[in-house]
Amino acid sequence: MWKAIRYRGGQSLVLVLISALVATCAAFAPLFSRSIDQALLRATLGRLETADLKLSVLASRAADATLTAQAVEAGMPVGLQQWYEPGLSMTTAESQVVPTAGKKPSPVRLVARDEVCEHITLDEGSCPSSARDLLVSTADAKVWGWKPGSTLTVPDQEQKPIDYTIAGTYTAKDEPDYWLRTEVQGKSGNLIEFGDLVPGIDDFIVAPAGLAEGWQRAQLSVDYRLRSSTITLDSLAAAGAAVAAIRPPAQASVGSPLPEIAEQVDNGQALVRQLVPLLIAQLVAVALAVLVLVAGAAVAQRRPEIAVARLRGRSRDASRRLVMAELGLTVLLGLPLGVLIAVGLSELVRRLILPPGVPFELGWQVPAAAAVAGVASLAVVYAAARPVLREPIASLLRRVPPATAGRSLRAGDIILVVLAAVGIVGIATNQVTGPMAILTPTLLALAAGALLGAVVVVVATVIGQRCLASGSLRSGLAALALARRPTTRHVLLVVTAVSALVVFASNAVAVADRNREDRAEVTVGAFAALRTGSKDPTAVARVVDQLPPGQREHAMPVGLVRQNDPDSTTTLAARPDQFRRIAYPPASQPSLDLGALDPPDQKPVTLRGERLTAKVDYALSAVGTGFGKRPDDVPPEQWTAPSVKVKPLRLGISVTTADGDVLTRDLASLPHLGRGSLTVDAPVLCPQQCRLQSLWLRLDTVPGLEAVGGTVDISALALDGKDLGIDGVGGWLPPRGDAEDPSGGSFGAVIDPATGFPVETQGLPTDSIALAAAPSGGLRLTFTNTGRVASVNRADAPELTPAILSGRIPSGGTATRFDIQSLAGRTTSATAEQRVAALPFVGDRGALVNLDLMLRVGGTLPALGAMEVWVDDQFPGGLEGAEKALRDHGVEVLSTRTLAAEKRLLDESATGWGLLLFLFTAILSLLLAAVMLVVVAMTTGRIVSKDIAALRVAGVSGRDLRRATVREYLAPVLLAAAVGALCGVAGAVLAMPLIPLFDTPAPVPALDHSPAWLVMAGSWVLALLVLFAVAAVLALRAARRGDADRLREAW
Amino acid sequence: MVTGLPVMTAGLVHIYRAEHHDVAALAGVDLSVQAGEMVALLGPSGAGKSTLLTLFGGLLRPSAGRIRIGEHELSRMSEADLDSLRGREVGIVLQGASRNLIPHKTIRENVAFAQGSRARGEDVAPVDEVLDLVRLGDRADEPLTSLTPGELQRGALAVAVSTRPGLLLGDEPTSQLDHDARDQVLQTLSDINTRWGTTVIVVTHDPEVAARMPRTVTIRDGRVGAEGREGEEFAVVSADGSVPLPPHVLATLTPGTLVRLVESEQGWTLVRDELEEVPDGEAL
Repeated sequence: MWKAIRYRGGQSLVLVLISALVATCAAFAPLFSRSIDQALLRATLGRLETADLKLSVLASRAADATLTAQAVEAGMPVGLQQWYEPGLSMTTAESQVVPTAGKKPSPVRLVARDEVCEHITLDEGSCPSSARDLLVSTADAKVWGWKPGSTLTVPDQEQKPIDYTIAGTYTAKDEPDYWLRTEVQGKSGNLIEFGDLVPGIDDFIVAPAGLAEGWQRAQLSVDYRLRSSTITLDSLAAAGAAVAAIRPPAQASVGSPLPEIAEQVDNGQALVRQLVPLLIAQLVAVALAVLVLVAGAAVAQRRPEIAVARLRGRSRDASRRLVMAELGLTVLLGLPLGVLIAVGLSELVRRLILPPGVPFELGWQVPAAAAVAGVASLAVVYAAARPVLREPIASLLRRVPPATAGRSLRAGDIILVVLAAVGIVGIATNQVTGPMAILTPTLLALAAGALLGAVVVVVATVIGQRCLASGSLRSGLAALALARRPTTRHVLLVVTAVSALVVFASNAVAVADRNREDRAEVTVGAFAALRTGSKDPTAVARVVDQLPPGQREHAMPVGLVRQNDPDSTTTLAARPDQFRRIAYPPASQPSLDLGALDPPDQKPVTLRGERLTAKVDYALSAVGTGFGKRPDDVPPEQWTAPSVKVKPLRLGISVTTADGDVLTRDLASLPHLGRGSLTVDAPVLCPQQCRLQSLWLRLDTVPGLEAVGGTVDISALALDGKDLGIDGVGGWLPPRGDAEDPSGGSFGAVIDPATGFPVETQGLPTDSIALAAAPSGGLRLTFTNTGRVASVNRADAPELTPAILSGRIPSGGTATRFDIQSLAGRTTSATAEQRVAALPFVGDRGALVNLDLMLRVGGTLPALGAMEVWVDDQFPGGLEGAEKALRDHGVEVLSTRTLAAEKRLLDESATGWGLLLFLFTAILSLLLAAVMLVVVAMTTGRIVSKDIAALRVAGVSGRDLRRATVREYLAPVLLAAAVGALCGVAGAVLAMPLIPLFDTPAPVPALDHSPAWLVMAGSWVLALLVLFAVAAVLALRAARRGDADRLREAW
Repeated sequence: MVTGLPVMTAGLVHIYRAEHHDVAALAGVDLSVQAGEMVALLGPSGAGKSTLLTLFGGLLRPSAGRIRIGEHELSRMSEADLDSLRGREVGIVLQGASRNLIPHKTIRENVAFAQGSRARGEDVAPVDEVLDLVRLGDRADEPLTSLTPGELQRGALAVAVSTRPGLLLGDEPTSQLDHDARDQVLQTLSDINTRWGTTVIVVTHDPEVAARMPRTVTIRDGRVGAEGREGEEFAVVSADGSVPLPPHVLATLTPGTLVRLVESEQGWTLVRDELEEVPDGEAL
């Protein structure tokens, strides 16, 4: 048997290799799948800090007055030690302390934590050794003058005072793995709300004995730090079960992230289980198709031996056993090799692609998959041998095998065509998703390859004859040879399928990568974003403006203000020109109309001074009186109209402070009737600086009962005697016709101030206000006012902030007017100049506004606001450089986001890794196609060489024969590759939308499934070059071997 | 000691069915070969001699007529029985030595392989005896590629007779061989016939081979056209009473010529209708 295998060493080697490839594909699937599963777990664990992974058992002494943290810890299952470090017990108790005589008490927390003295720096004194010792923070000691040895009285939770001795002062070490987000410091020096504003005090650290008794409301906790390296897919479930089995004492609660982690991993695994087998199945299908061809060729080569066996009396079964023993053994030899290759590949993936810590595992699935591959390979060999073995002996004895029906479609071809048609129609009608979607491109290509084979055999004959008739010897010979070779159809089928797979796979990888990049860009907003600790937008903007040239152009300040509701619209304030350069808006949506966000050209009027002066001329008259309407059931003689004491008309300005507060300043009170003039001289009350926002007037009465109309001329507006230059109408916005309630709200029924009940009023004139130039200079306000604030705003800030709105319109608004948060966290009206699907960082819940415009209005960021600095990839020194630059300018950087990190996060996902398998599929299928070309050349080489030899003897020149042979080998490759490329493109268009690109789909940015033409073209050309090179070498070899001696060969 | 198998055909017809037409390779062959005889089948290309040999080997089934090999009526045998017959009682040498040998085996291994179809315990010739018979004892373990064409052909003979068959069928066993090699092959055939009494039927184009065979049967147009015994040629009366005339007689007695059969003391004489006696030299 070995002799037989060695006799056709090359062919046996090819059989072994292809069988190995089948086994590789089959065994790699579970290995890769398992590795991804483990990698998902590792990535998930790696992204979480120790504090996020801890197992916490929380209890309160309120439930059991005798409970201690040690008792809680003692009740934990011993088995937890497999996965968790020993527990860290902590007891805390809330109390209060008078920091120094005469001060109000401040809240304070007493903390007793295991091993605490090893994780603090003792600046003075010693660790608490007795129940009445405590440590105070060094910061507090400095503020309050606390000295070691002195006494602090801390009432227990029964308000019984307990005297503690200060044993020392501490500073907590920055050891997050110990503290697990327990903040013992950070409160000192801050004012906190405790009935009143009182100074905060850092935690007092006491010995465990200090809180062991009493303190009836003490909180007890035991934290177990996860030994991440011990958590694998298998142990995750076991650890989860162990955690679930914890029966804590006294109503304690157990918190563990393991169930959530397991769920995340489960989700990823589900995607992996969908993607990996399907991709591998395609590869296995191509590999088996090649194996079918190779096995068929191998069996065909053994026809004479089968004939000899039959001639010597062997039955068909005995002959089958002979063939299967040789070819079957050869195929089975490939199995261990295939498994080894799969393990090697898996190891490469594990080391080069997957995150560290993914264990090497060889589960039962691997030998099982290899066994399935072996059975499938044997079945293929059996199927290939069967028709030959069923031939009558006389047929086997023929020197030339009987020709098969080369021109007709075979049953297998028809099945392929039907399946491909079903897949395409199914996708087109949205009836097919998931698995079939991934398989359809390959099915389509196989069907196209089968059809192409049937067509080419016919067409090549015609072309060959015509070429010969017209004198094109080389093309004619090549075409006729193609038509004659039974392997032509094999080459066309496999190369078409492989070409389609390469094109489709490269497109899938590129499209997935592009979408991950898009999503990362939108998620981060820019190349990198540095969140600062500053709440002062102006200061941060100034710092960025003051960066040296070379840095300044690559950074931009960004203000972010969100609301409590995560679904609400977040304000994103940025400078349009910088935003255009640095931010990453989604590529798939129309470009942003950033020009619409530009602030008005009008400069803000800054009020930095003491007193504002102006000259006011007025001409006012009442518009309508009596304003109550007699009810129908009240006789006229009994009716007395409500009497209202009319107050004067108030004239004032509104200013915005640097903090964004809007303040009103009364300038003058005008009698509501008559004419006159007066000089205003009013304090501005802006110690630092304010921005003049508006000029307003309002009849000081109950709105709706009376009205006054007329004109007010204001001129010579000056601050501390310096003319403000704002008497021109052009510096003001055209006033709105209506007016506002001074409270900012609307009102309905008029309330009788005498009775407090609504009164039905006669119709009053409508509020109005108009601005014009006063004849004598200055501004003239012409108005009718019923008690609502009527104002004219400065033109440096529009009434409605122009915004680019992403996603839906905020609740209660319209596209032309909706509410956003200003940088001061105040509700501001905005109008959507453009609506888009998504904006950088804020996604589909954001409003992009002009930062400079928002800075004009001013404001200090609220608690949910943040100032960030976004930088592009050209910032000198990258992220580190940007961090340093900001820190050098005194801006604290709290955290950073980077495009690379976000992209890596998305790459390290089930879909990210799973889709990489497309590359593996493409490369391996290309290898298979190359091997198939070699096999075809080996099996037909003798015939080709004899043909060439015969033609040489007939007088055809060697050069013509070489070129004809090269054309014969290259033409089907080119043709099939072209058809395959078309199938790949069709598959990309049809099936890509059905392939999951993310583990967790997001509404924005919208997935961009447009084909990656360049990548597809590049990969196709590369694949074609590889196949061309192989085919050309084989063709030249065949041509070289076609000498006259070939005609005399026996074997 | 092997006893040769007699071969008998009666009205043997074989038609090759092609896609668009049928070809009658044999059109009623009546032939009888005695056990232990050595017969050469002669005839022009396409006459049907190889088809006849193939039918004797049970490789094809006749379209009509009967073939009997020893006690076996071939047309009634199953495929398995035919396999068994070839494995035990009929050895076949196909034209071209390579078609008879498994290329990756030596001659010895080929012989052993051929004997492998015999059930355990059945009497087979020792491999060395077979190899000695074909004079390949010293070359039996060489790769086939190192053997001469004559050695290969004798190797093919060794394989064919490795089960000591009662009938040895050879299709052009000496084609493409030089004189020495041809003589060695013929000698081997003779030795096989002599030692084991094996009936030998070979197809040949080679007149010298024919001359070395005790009996020749010429197949012409799918029928037995003539026979030669010890160098003398005879026309053969077929079962339907027809007598195929040799070509040179046909040149004189063209188809349609009326002849008389005249009985004399020497037997029957063929006479033209014009009472013109056939020349002596052309008497059958």
